[in-house]
Amino acid sequence: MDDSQAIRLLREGDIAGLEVLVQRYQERAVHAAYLICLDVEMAQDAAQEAFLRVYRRSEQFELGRPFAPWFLRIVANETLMALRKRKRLLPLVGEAAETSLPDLSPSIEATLLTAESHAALRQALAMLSPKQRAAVVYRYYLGLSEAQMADLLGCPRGTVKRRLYDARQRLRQILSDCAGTIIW
Amino acid sequence: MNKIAQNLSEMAHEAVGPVDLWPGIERRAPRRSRRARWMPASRLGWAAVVALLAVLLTTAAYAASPLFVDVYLINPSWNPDAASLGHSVDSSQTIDGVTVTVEQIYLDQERILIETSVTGPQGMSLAHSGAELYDGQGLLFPWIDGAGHVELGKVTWVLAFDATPLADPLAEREFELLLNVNGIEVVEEARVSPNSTEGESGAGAVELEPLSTSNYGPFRLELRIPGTVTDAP
Repeated sequence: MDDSQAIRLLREGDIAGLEVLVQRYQERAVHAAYLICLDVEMAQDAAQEAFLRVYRRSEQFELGRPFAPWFLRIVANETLMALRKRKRLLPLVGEAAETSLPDLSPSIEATLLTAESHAALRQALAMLSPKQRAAVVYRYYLGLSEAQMADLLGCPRGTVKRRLYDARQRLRQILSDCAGTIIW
Repeated sequence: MNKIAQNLSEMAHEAVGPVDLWPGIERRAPRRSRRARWMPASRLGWAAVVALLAVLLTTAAYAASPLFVDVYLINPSWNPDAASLGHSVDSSQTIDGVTVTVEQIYLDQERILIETSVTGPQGMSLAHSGAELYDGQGLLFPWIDGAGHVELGKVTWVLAFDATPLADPLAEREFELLLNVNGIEVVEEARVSPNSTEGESGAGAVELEPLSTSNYGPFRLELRIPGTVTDAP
């Protein structure tokens, strides 16, 4: 069953259509959300909320067009919204302090090196603003063009370029201390 | 996959681990509010409703601002004093040149009214689509109906939602209004195909071009109002 067939089922009130989409896209959705919020629980909540929005608003999807970009934009919006809500609840907690480093299991040297790379990358991402992280995820993880990002974010293309440039510069600066860990 | 995407993907995979969202989604999915049978199922249906309401409202003797009066006059059992009881709100969002602004909110124990304005390109007939209202905890308030004024490039509209899901009507509230905007380019004159001649069709071939439609959104506006409530009439 392809995505459009699943959406048709949804529109007919058949929840089996939603299950197909969940099984197909849940991992990518949670990963994209995690890269923006750096919080596993929040990422899973945001992805779940995004699927529920698809369920409620399946009629807004244009059949025949690719489902993934449309859906992953909803995931990103949900994540940014969740971050804004948390910021209102915890206004005095610094963003980097809110998140915890992933558990590492350095069983062999190679694994340790890889884990160190991921930890460094995660720490670097944590030092970006949520919008800068979203820009990085849109561009490099979801593979959107700058024009698509401008359309999604509702801002001029120049603003997108600037946000990406700032994010890249900041990441390069942060990662320059972690020699040989991440290749950009 | 390039190196950056691969690094990001591996990092996320390592941190997140196995994912199984389906049980939680399955529990919550049946709570979806289904569209009432009388509601339009397509964008053209919505456009027809907008046009019909615009005609009705602009020809009625009492059709004037404030719009809360208009929407209440549709249902005579409602309280027309709502027009003076709304909370002013200044929340707006612009996407692709289309701006949605929430002007004010009124609520009592039965309904929530949200006055919105939508402005966009001149020559474009604009209409709301798929408006949904949630509170801060994600509780959905069912849509009832709406009314307003329509002109090219601008719509001022009151959206009415059922307030009965409100658990604590006295508390300060945050709402999230989600909606899309559909725009239809209004063609003032039929376009004549440059290749047509009078001889081909006898009376001059007029080529009807398909309507140019655009979708904007989703718009997402966060609204906060103080914790007071008006008794329903």
